[in-house]
Amino acid sequence: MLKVATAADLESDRLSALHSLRILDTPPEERFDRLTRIAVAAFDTAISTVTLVDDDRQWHKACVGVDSREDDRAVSFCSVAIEKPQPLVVPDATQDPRFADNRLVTGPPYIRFYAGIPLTTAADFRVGTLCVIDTRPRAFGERDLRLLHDLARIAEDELNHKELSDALSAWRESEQRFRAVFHESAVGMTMIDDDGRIVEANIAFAAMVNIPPADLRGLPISAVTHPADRGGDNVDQLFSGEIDRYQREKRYVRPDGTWFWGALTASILRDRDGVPDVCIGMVEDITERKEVERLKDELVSVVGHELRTPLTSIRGSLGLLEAGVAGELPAEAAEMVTIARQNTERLARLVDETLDLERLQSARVELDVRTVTPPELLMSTAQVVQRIADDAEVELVWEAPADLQLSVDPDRIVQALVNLIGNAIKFSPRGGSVRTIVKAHGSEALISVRDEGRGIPLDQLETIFERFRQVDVSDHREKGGTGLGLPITRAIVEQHAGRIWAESEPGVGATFRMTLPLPLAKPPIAVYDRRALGREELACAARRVGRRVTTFSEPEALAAAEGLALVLVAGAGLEDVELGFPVVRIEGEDVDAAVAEALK
Amino acid sequence: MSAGRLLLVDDEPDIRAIATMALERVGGWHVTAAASAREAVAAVLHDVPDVVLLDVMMPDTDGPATLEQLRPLLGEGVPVIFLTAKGESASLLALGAAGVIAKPFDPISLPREVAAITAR
Repeated sequence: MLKVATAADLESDRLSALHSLRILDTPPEERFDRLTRIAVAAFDTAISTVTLVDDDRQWHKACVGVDSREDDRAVSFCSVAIEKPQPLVVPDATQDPRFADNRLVTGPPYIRFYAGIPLTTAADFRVGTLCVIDTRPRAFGERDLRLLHDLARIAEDELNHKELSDALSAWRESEQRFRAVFHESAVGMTMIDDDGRIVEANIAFAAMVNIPPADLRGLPISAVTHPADRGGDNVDQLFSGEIDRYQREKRYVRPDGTWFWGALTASILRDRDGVPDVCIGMVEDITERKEVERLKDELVSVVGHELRTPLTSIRGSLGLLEAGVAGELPAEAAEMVTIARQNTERLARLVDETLDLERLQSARVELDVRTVTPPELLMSTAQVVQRIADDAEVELVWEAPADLQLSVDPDRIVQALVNLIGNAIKFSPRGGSVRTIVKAHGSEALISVRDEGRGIPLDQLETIFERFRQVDVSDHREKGGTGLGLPITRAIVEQHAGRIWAESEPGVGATFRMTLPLPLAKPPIAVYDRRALGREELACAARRVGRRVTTFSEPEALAAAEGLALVLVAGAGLEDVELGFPVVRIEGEDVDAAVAEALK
Repeated sequence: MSAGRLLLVDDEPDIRAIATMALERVGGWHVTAAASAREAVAAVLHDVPDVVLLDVMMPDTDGPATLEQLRPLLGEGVPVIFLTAKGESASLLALGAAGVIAKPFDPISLPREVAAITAR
């Protein structure tokens, strides 16, 4: 039996064709907007739209002269226009029985004239129109119709443009995915505008601050921030483009005055042109973690103190006994007392270092930063380790430039060096040497401690920096370490924003290297030479003494430069240039020496 | 041979015992031990010592407050040395102390440290 397609079947096919274009409710696009602009200008009408006719509404993909993007299908001229493949031209709607009582005719925008060309899909479904509308009756000639027709064909091509509709559907998907992530995330999410006001907040954030999402909209973020933590947010810097994201821990307040600790990650979302659009804040409630941290800190310091006091007494008593202060002890008793005293000292050291490490890792140690030179640091270190080296018959070799300035906490860096060199001595054979070398390396100082011991197995180069991870389990007894020296050393270096690592060739020795950032107080040195080779030679020499370098090959660029300390010049070409900083000519064979002299 | 009379003020009995033994047997001091400011005042009223070793951290009356009570009885000539577990030597010296010894101290070298300060 032949199935006869009903009008309802056709309409439902038409709607699925329209929906498969995935264009409804997408943002305005220039490729359609320009057609309505042209139409309004060409026909001198008040209104032009690219309109799609949905199930019970009409929706404007592009429009000029219309405020609302959609309206009821019942009042839609376009809905009538797509009934037939031919254009629909209504010269005066008040005279047309189909439209005379339409509320768009009897009321705003008082439509009188309408001309619309149906837009068809590739499968020949009429899904909408390109139309022009006016508030006065008018005629529409053959030439007008042809022009409107041509514009409609362009609109049709755009509508059926596959790549673009794919891009649109991708946009729609990512938009939907973003909305899903934003609203359904268990993490608190906020969108903040450039005034620092909440544009949107998700349910998780609303629950955290105990304010409904609708009431949060428009509220400044400072209104839910603990007074002590206001001013720490860098929303301005995000919108000015200075930074792309930042993280901080801050307290959020609820209307009832209670507060919670949140870990905030704020980042900027940019639009297609890269202009900052909205700031996205992700907030995690870390109150529990903070409380655990506080309890741990308290536990460590209380237990530490409670252990220290009796240990001090035990150590003191044993020391007096061992020294025979309370009377000479029998040989065997003296031996036992010595064992007790040594182990008490080890235990006391363990307690001290555990406390020290906890303080360093929780960043509760304030660094007492001063400007020192490498030789000063090495001298203080040598005072501690020289005796240990002498006892072990190990030679200590030092190498450090005196013209380098470090901004560090000298006591802490000496502590780190004593740990590293003390270790190196322990693992050195009799007659071996331990070399400590300080060098400038770009914007950092590089300190290396190299021994000639048994080395470190490659798979342990990283784990030795963990607590109680000595290479050999018997080490703590034979070498007397606590297993905390390297973790403490790493914590000290990291507090100074430096890095530390170990390198080793097993059987040949181990090298520990640490970096410390050099102070940036010294402005960069300018280097000028027209010849690339000469430029490079000067730049290298300046970098070798720890200075930052900017190179120039054009006198004009150099004249326009600012914030430079001085300019090093080799060769000719700067005689006639006015510069705001001193010029030093580098001559002679030994460029390194000449540059070092000039930069003293 | 006696190095002189030393008044030791510390609230912890163990520390008093250890320090007393070290100072008497190794350093040759004649030691009087006091557990509080009150006991220290009583001891000074009984016999003015040649040197005072004073713990900073004590319940009720702490080291600096004890020094305030003792100073009029001691006069200016008697050196007072603070024992402290915290690195606050500058502020303690400003109170008129002759020196500061860090806690925990090594009992064997304690007499030497005291001697070094009193010799100044």
